[in-house]
Amino acid sequence: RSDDSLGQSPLRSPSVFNFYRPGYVPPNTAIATAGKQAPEFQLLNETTTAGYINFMQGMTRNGYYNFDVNPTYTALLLIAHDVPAVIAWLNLRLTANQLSANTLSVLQATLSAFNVTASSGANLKLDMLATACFLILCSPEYLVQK
Amino acid sequence: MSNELWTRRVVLQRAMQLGVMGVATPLAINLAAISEAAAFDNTDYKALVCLFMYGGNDYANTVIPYDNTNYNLYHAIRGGAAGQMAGGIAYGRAQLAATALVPNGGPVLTDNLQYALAPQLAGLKSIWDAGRLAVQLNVGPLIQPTTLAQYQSTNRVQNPLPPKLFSHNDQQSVWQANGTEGSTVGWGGRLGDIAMSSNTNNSLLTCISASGNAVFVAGREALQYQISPAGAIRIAALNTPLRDALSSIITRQSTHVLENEYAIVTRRSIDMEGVVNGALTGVDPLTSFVTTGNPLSSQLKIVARLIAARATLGMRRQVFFVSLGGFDNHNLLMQDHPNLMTRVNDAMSAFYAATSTLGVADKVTLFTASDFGRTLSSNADGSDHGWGSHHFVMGGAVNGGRFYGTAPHVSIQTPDQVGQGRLLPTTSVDEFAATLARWFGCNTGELPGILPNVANFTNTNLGFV
Repeated sequence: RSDDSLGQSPLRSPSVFNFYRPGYVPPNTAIATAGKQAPEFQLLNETTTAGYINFMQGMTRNGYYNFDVNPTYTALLLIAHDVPAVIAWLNLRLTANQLSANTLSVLQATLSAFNVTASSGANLKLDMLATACFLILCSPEYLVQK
Repeated sequence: MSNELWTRRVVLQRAMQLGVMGVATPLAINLAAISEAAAFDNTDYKALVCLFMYGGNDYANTVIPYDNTNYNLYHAIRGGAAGQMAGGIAYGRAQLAATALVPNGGPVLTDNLQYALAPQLAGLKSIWDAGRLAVQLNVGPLIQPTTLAQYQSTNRVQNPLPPKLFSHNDQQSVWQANGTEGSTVGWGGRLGDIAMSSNTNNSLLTCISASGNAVFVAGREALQYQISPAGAIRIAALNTPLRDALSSIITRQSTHVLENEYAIVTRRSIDMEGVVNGALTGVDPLTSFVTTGNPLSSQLKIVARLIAARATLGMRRQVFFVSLGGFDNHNLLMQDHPNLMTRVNDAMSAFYAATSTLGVADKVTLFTASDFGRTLSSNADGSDHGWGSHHFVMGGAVNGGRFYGTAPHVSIQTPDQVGQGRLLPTTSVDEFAATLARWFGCNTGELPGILPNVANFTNTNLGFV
């Protein structure tokens, strides 16, 4: 399914060349103009970018179709009431502290709006933490390793 | 039949031609001529569809020698069993009776060859009988017409060959984009560059892949728009209170080129989703176009529905790309190739029927392509990488029911093959593509900008469409 899948299922590549070629140059990009290669861009198009985002929306809150692979947010639940701490925790572990000021500010505003306190119910905390992860995982700042 | 592209370029040419008639020419005539050229004409639509068979389709079990003499040669080389029975990687002759091709014209073929299609291609046989499927024999990449002696020569300056022959990824790129892997401009995309100005509303939808990324549909300005068989994919979270936060994160520009290019694709996905899905909502759902278990059918069905939406989208010229993988049949050829042929048959037949239902059969031309053909001889249970291959051209405008090009001898020794029955092409991809480009609306002067080596070939209109 294209609408909420990653298109990278293990062992299900479309050819003997696995999912992308080392020599791939994405046409009509500044990458091509610069004469560079970007192998992973062979997987990037209008369908896969949307499918990935839809997949992560479900994955971050409910795991993989409520199957065995589920995020538990164990460590984050302990600091869910502290939005800057949550952002710092994720920024370090997901992007090696490379999120931009713009993205950090969007996260601060969006996550604060959940009004999570130490005594909030688990569902509210999980909603907030899943949203935090979701927004970061969808950001090109996370997707492109630097 | 003149099928010129009604672009600004043509309008200006026409205006200049009228201008030289002198000042006595009434302005009204000029205006009428210009408005006729520039007006959107719903009936003047054309779509070119590339069906790429990834892996290198085995030509010898697709278009199969059928007359007794040549069948026996095929049967011997491919390891058939006694009495013209199936064996090795050869079909039994009786299996081919139902799909034996009777041409409605065209030249007598080499060695008086008669052919049958693979047994699974019954639907294509019907379209051949209706005169709407043509077979292009022995077509492949060439820099210039090439003899065996030239192929074997060590003088590559005088006798240039396409780069990296027999390499999957490079030949896929050579077929699609006249260059090895890493090429960024395909000839379908070049057609899109020329056609874009005809698509006044959504020029972004000029070149579309319903498969994975394909350089075929990338031009210098025209770029690939990719769509899934289910249509454009909506980002669900953009319909929630999270919309503004998410949107700002996934679409923002960046000074990092990879981040920036990633966001550009996401912006395009978001911008076009409503337009495309909105247009698709109103068109024939084509419920009789069955796609179960056939990813090629799924792709061609969304192509058909996009073609049905052409008026809503304001499209007049489009180039589409679909594909099927799995053709690299080094092993288990007789187990796997029939399944591939069934998928190709079912998908192509259903697509042709859909274009007929939609009333656009003569506005849509589909052609097949592949990395290369394969060996004629067997490696025990399969065939290996080759070069020239036989391909199909299908559509209501096709002069079908006959063969084009030169039939190869059924041999692993004649000078029209480079060993093991790997065909030395006698028709170039340039000539094949030029013929399709002309149908699409290009004139002779535009061909070199689409196909850099086309001047090396004399026959740039093979006549199949």
